[in-house]
Amino acid sequence: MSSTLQSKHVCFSYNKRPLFEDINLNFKPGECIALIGANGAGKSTLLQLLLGLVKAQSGEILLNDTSIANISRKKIAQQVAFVPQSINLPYAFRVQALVAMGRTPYLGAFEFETAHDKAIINLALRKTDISHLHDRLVNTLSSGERQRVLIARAIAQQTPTILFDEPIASLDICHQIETLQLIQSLSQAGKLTITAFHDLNLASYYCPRLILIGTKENGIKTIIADGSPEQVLTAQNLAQHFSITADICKTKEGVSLNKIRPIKNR
Amino acid sequence: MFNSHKAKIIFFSLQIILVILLIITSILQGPANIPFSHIASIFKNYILKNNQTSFPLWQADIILNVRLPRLIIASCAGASLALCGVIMQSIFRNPLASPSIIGVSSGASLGAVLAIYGGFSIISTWSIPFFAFVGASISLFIVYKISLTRGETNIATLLLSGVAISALNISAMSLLLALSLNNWDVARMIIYWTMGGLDGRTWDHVLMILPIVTSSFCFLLFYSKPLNVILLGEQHALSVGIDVTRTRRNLLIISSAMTAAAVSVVGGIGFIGLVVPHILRLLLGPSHRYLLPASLLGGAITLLGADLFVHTLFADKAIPLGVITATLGAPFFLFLLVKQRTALH
Repeated sequence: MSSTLQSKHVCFSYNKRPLFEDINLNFKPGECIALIGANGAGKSTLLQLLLGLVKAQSGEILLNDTSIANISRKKIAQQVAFVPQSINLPYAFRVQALVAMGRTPYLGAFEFETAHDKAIINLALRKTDISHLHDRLVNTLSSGERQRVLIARAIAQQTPTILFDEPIASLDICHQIETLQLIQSLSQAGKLTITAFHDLNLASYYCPRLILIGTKENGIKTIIADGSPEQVLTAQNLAQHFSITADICKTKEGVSLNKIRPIKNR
Repeated sequence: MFNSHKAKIIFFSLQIILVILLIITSILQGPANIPFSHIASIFKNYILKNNQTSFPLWQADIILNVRLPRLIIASCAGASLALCGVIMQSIFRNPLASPSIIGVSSGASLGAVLAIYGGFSIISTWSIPFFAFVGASISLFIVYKISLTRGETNIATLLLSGVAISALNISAMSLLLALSLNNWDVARMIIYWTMGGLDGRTWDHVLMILPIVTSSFCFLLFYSKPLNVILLGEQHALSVGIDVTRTRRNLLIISSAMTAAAVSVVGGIGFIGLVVPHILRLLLGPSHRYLLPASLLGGAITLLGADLFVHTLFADKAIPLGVITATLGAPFFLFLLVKQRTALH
């Protein structure tokens, strides 16, 4: 089950405009990682790079020491699952059917789910606490429920790595906490989880490792800081990359930011 | 509505019974009155190859060479247009996508007219479907490139690019017709072809459409799972391991081929590709495992039914099939558009 994900000297440009430069990251199984950065910093793009959805211009993403560009989508989907940002599901699929889509990478075109697959699907439904919804139509669910359906699909994919693109962006506070606890429990079960965040307090509370993406002086984006909340959430980083000042308090769990204020003169 | 597995089986049985009923009625129905007993012995004779005739020979000719190809063509054309609608609505993630609305049908028509104008149709009858395929593919590819950005289609862009491509295709067809008017034989062939419909269709036409529809349908069955996930969005499909670019390309080729086959045999018949998949999605849900076979049958039922309707009620007037499908389909399209308007804001 153990799998490694690495990025080596990755550079990426969008429409010939350089976006990322020299991204070097190493991930280990069981890590719970938060990806932070301001709007437009490139969190989603970095997740898409790690998933092989977009191709790096130079450098490579290594999945189990093989370049992700040389692995078929089906094989990637058996290693890395992805929970997209959009939880807009306008079509009337049943919850059960949508979670079952997570088994797609393991099944042929005409194969039905076996008893083994069904057990995995039910387990995913139970882990995300949506067993009671299994017969509902996804377009009638609340956004918190839809988010959990998509996480259940990623769990049903049974991958060692799960990437989340702003999974709590459209949820109320209770569902935010529930979702983050779910992500935490997944990494405690040995999965590598990488989550894009906006809320720095929640990020530092739930994730022992933070990765800050931001813009360098030359206008190109890269990894600014990578480490524990104390190392990443410094006054300088907050001012430069989030345009805020805050009281940085060290707590038992890590760091908490109080009295967050915007810096006006940007 | 038909949610459980059992209800779906009942639904499919109903569809199959309806197809069989329509086929029997269509075979019985026509300007010449041929009794059922004769038809039965015509088929028996044909299959057993014995020559004891209890019926006039012209009757066998009408049944085997006029009515039979006509109803096979009607079923195939309806089925292929409905299947194209299903695929396009899934690829474009948009309920308004269908062959006639996004300009693919008119692209196929332009290709066919070009084949007649250039004299290729005299060299080989297969040039018409081939050129139609090229025309349909080019139109579909242009609309696809314009309207799809980052896996999402904007409804306005999709419809506007479809309108623009259709207008271009239709004006190019008019131009070709105007240019060919000094050569009356070519002009007559173009006019006759553009009228479309099911009259005078022969086994040659069956050979053009039947293999394409059956093989495309078999290919499509491989894509029923990917189509489900693509309907949810590009990122969803990629994250569960579907090679979206390749799948989309193959599906676009298949739908161009089916539109081209339908258009080159019966001409542009609008709204089947829009309405049939919609009604079936409401009844059966969005899963393509059921939607694909249901559309195959549903499209066949619609066109067979429309043809029978025209034949029984307006037997003495030559009313094109497209009139019937448009009368039923256009209000439905407007209804969908009004529904979409609320989603747009």
